[in-house]
Amino acid sequence: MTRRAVVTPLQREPGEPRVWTVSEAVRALNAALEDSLPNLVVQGEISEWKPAPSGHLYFTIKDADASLRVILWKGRVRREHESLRNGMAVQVEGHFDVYAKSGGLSLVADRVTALGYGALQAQFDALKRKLQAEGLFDESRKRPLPRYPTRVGIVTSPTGAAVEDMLRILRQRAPYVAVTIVPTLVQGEGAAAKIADAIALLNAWGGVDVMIVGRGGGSAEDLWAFNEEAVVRAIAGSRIPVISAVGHEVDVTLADFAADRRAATPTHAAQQVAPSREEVAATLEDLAKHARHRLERECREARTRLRGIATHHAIREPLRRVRDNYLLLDQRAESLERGLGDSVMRRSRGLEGMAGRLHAHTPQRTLDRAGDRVQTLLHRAGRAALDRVARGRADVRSREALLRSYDYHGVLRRGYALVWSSETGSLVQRAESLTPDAMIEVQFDDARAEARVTRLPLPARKESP
Amino acid sequence: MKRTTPGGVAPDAGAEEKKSFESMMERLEALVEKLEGGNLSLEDSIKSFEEGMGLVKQCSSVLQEAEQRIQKLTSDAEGKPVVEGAARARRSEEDAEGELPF
Repeated sequence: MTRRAVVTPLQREPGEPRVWTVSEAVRALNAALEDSLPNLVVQGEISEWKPAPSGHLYFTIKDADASLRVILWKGRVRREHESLRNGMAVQVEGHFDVYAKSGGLSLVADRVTALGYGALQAQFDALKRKLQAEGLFDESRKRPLPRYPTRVGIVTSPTGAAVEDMLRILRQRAPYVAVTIVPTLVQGEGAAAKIADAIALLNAWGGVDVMIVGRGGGSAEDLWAFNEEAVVRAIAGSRIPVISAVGHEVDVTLADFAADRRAATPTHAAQQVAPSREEVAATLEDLAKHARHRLERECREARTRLRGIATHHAIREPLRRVRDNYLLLDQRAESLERGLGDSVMRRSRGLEGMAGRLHAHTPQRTLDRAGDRVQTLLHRAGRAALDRVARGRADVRSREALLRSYDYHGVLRRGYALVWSSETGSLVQRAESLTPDAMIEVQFDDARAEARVTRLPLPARKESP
Repeated sequence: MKRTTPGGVAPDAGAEEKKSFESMMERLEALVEKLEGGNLSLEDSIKSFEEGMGLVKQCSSVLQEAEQRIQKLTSDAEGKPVVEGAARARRSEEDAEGELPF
């Protein structure tokens, strides 16, 4: 703790110089300024243009060697002042005043008159016209930004707040993105060449999907490098898509015109460059859901097509093969659907295993042939079977369960039997898969019977319906 | 999408040549569109579905990347690209200072 010095009351010994309080000194200075420089008109170029929420206008006017703070109080602000911008030349009529609180000298304006564009603005306009004529700003030149980049380059000052902001935003939203920073000067002598080199370096290296080129806010002079030809050409010539992010929302630079996208600020650029982890996860979930629904429908439709044929009385000859296949299809569809209830992640693993099983015992060619035939027959037989199934049954799942049991027993009731291998428990579809002495189970409509294969193959017998 | 790297500098340090996230997402979208189109045989539908689910899994694992990787790119005396310090900033140290590798 330091003890605060007591500065009042002041006493003056005869012969000693007078000691002033700070307030007295500032008051005396203001009085002297008023006496010697009553009202004057100063001409200069606006920079650091800063309208305050209070309605007062604060800015700086400058020439090549000097600058002055200007205050235009709210009561003196006119409508035409709305169009004032950094870089414009103005005449300010007013008086000097030292603001007691800060001790800063300001020119307090009575009147501010625009003289048109300043020198910098003229330079900006000329270069803009030239590059525009070359087509550097054409919409058709703009490269599409990658929708899901995972490698982002950032060309900016390594020390500014802007780079910290961008890294923070990316870390929070999209930590899956790898960031490559190309440090560069962003203002002052030689900055433009350094920025252009950095952009070229990223292109030569090629390890990013997209780049952000920019810097945080500053005066028009601070941002000027981004209006220079070297930077604009480097951005336009970049093979890698570029997002410009210079200063604040109000700052528009030629770099913005050449870039594939302009972000209002570096923070905005970091938000736009890659979708957030949550957004991508939601998209993935959505895509998986669509795929799942579609496949479920596909299975349902295929099964219904086959069933429609199996139950149609007019069809005799293809009936057996269709029935065989539709039993197989049921097995496939059931195991598919069991899996489909699971979460997306576990799902894909299950499917892989299942696909292996499916391939192992699916006579694909026969199935396809049967499918084609079914299509043709469906047209002939009409859609009666389908309609009957669909009518009055809102719940798809219960409808399926019902259909399945109905059809399954229907087949057995008509006198067919299923043969199961006692050893493996699987359906026996071909005699050639059996060996003498193999134990089998024969499933009839009413019960199952165990049997042993005694002799095979037997000569063919005439089939009775 | 893939770009080759001059000077033998691996842009994606550590990772072997794998498909880019972008191309996986595009393939996934195409597969779902194909499925939605409904002109596939059942067999092709199942194949597309399986491939799609594999991609969903791969993409999800990319998103699981919990750490931000930061590196610096400069050039050497001959102007060749030089990559330095693949620093990792943990997500949990949200506003930790000094995570920059330079």
